[in-house]
Amino acid sequence: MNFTYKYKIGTLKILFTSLLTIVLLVSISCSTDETQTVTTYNNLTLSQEFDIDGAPDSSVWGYDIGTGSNGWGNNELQYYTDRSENINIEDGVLKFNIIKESYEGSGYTSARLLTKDLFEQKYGRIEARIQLPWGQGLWPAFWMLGANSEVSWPQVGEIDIMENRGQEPTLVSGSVHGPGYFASEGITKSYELENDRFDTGFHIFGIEWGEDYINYYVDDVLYNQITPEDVTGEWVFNQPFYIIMNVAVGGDYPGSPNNTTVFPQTMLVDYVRVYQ
Amino acid sequence: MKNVNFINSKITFLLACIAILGCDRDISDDAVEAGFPQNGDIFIDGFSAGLDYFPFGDSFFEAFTVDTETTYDGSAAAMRFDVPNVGDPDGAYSGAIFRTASGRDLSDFDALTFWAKGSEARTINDIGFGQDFGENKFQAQISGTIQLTTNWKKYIIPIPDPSKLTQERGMLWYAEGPENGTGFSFWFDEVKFEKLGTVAQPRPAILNGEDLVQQSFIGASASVTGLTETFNLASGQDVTVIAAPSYFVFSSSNPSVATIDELGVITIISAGTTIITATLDGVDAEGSLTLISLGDFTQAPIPTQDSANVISIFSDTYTNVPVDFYNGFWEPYQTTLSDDFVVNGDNVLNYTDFNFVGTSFSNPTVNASEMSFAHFDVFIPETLDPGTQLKITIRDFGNDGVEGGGDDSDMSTTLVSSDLTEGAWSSFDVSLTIANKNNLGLIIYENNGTNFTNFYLDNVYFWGVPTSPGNAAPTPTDPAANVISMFSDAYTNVTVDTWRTDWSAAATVFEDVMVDGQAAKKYTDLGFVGIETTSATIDASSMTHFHLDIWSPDVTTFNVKLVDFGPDDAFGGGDDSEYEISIANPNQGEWVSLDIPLTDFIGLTGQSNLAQYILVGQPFEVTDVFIDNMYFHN
Repeated sequence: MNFTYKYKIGTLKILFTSLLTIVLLVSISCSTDETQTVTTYNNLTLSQEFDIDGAPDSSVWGYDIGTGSNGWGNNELQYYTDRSENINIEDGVLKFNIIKESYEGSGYTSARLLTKDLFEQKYGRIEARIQLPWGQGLWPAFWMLGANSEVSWPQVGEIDIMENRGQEPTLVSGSVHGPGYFASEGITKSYELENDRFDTGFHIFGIEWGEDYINYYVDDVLYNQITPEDVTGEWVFNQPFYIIMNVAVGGDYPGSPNNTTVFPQTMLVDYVRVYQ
Repeated sequence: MKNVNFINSKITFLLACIAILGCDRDISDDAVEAGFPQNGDIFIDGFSAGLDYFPFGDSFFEAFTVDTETTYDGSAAAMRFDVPNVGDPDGAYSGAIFRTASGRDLSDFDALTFWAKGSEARTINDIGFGQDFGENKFQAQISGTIQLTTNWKKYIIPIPDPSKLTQERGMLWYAEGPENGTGFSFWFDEVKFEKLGTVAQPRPAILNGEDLVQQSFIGASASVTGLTETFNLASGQDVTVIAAPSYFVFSSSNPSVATIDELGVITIISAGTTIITATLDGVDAEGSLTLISLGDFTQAPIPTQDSANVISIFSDTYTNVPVDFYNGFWEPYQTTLSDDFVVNGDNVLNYTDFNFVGTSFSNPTVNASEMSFAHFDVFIPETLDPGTQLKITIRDFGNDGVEGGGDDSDMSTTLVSSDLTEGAWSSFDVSLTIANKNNLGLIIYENNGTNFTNFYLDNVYFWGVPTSPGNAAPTPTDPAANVISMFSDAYTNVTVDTWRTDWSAAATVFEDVMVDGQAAKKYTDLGFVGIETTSATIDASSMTHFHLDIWSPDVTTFNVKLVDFGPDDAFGGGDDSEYEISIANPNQGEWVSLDIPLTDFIGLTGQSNLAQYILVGQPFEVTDVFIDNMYFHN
């Protein structure tokens, strides 16, 4: 991929501690930061194109069902199902349908797909082309969790490739969570789309992930790199992870939907591709 | 419009200055000029070329000025608007359109944007575009939700469908009035059409997004209102624009029942059901109207009362007095809704979900002191339940002219199911027995029955025939030479011995009265009355007609009898002759001129010794009759 270095490479922390870096970036426009590592991954290890109508490929995707504990730890309001009403492939896209309905004691239904035990990989380029839902209280996410079942969160590690609050249609965030830097202390950066928004068309959300770095990009814009220097704890990302895609409703991150939130909502996923 | 011209000339001057300063723009090399200019600028550091200011006719004409001191971000100039205080003789509010001389192509933009602030925090009534003092075909505005603060803030008014604006002239319009009596000032800057790219999630709506069901009839017309489109902005906030009908494409699911035109006007052409829906730029609008056409409408009977004797509250036959409302939507207990309709030009009130409802006409109150009845036409469109009771209360507000104050008076009448007819009009004339009727202000309809939810109402008016004529009888035009007059101000009268013989009906009272400055004779409680010229009988042998003007508020039959004493010129003697002519249903409450050929008095064989004239009124000894201009002529 050819990235436009629209945002200065590195975290804010790096920029503020290295005046030299800023000077370099300003004077050598569009060149690669010396501190950044970019590796190009071309070997396709997973290609989910969602071209066949029906349920997603069960050899790749499993489901989280229900409300987890305490709304998946975030006071989320939805009940996840594997019903075709909530998750199906149609017109060449995977559709997450978020419905306002009374179901098993919850007020909303949605879906959460994950490749746990089915597809796990260490390092690589992981990207998906997605059109987001919109509205107060929607919380779509494309993210990864460490596959090591012997440790628990946050020690296991979490890479959020894309998260969005439905009430912020031009903003997405990329984050990592690990021991000593999790929940609101996660290492995160937002990316704002100019003169466009994420709910009106498809955009590519991805990471390029290697030993001791994760680069975040949206479309052709690389907007952040996170390295062990940026995290305030142990770097737990040199191990296999699996992929999760979901749309939550409400919860601590976006807050609850209100009377302006339009239901049903849909998240459309054109593809998920992983390269090594 | 002198002021308008003056203001325009100021703007032209300003524009000229800007042009001299070199602020005009060159067209870029790759721009292809086709159609109308794609210029979205309205007021950046001054007016965009070709824009003129036209204040609304009744607004404060000087409300708009170009301000070079208070500007956004230190730019050269901003638009300043001054809203007058209540009572300002120069205008009640501030409002104008800003129009280009020729159209602009705005189809590549998605919003009108501007920075604004107020001298205090206020909500602006209307700001938008598309008003051009022409068709206003693609008018759009935000009404009542733009809240200015005392700091500069950017505002966004989305274009409902930019593809429509290929030659738009109405760049900007606004209207704002004083609040709590006081005006204020506000400023706009950087006013322009923009392509934001973040105006999204269009949600058009008709009927404010409601799904309504309405009964109607062939020939009825109605308009689809409540036309809006809501967008989501980059801020995540929704904003709702009021959009002109021409942005929408309307459709009727059953065009054989009703059609709808491009302005949202519905015409019903047959019985049946159709659903009216709309789209805007291909997006289905929320809201629909299910029209149930019941077929032909039975119009209420057309009133026949002389308009001079009517005070009308609701009728297409008469001119109605000022009415505050036909439904006060009284909170919190009223459920009654209004689903009024017009069929072939006939306006009909239609009360649904009826529990109670009022019609107010208190500005000013109605003086019905000359009126005797209140008229109502009531139609029951649904099943008439035996327990139906419709109570009608008429309220007089008393001398203070306002409701309450201890001087109000009421009268009520209750219509029950036997008074009403299912699927048909019933007409009622209720006697105005109210204590005072010179300050009527309110009619209240109450549902005191069972299973009664809906009725139509038409021809609500007060009427009454005045008890005495307000104007004099018409002045006769027959030449005096051709007349033998018994009583007329127009002629010299012969001697009349008596205008009420003692053998007249006992109850009948005679008096000489003046009507509108002219002498007349009045018979109160006329049964029959004798008038005599016995001392000098009248020789009408050369005359051809008997003339008499009568005026009565209540006579239903009026008779006149002539008696000739014959050659002996005395009562009796076997040569007398007489004949009585009866006039049925003479118009009440107006002068009626009787001009009867003497040949119609068939039995009156002698006409040379006329001596007695007997007038008879029905109903007997109840009716009052005024007479004038009693004479013979040829």
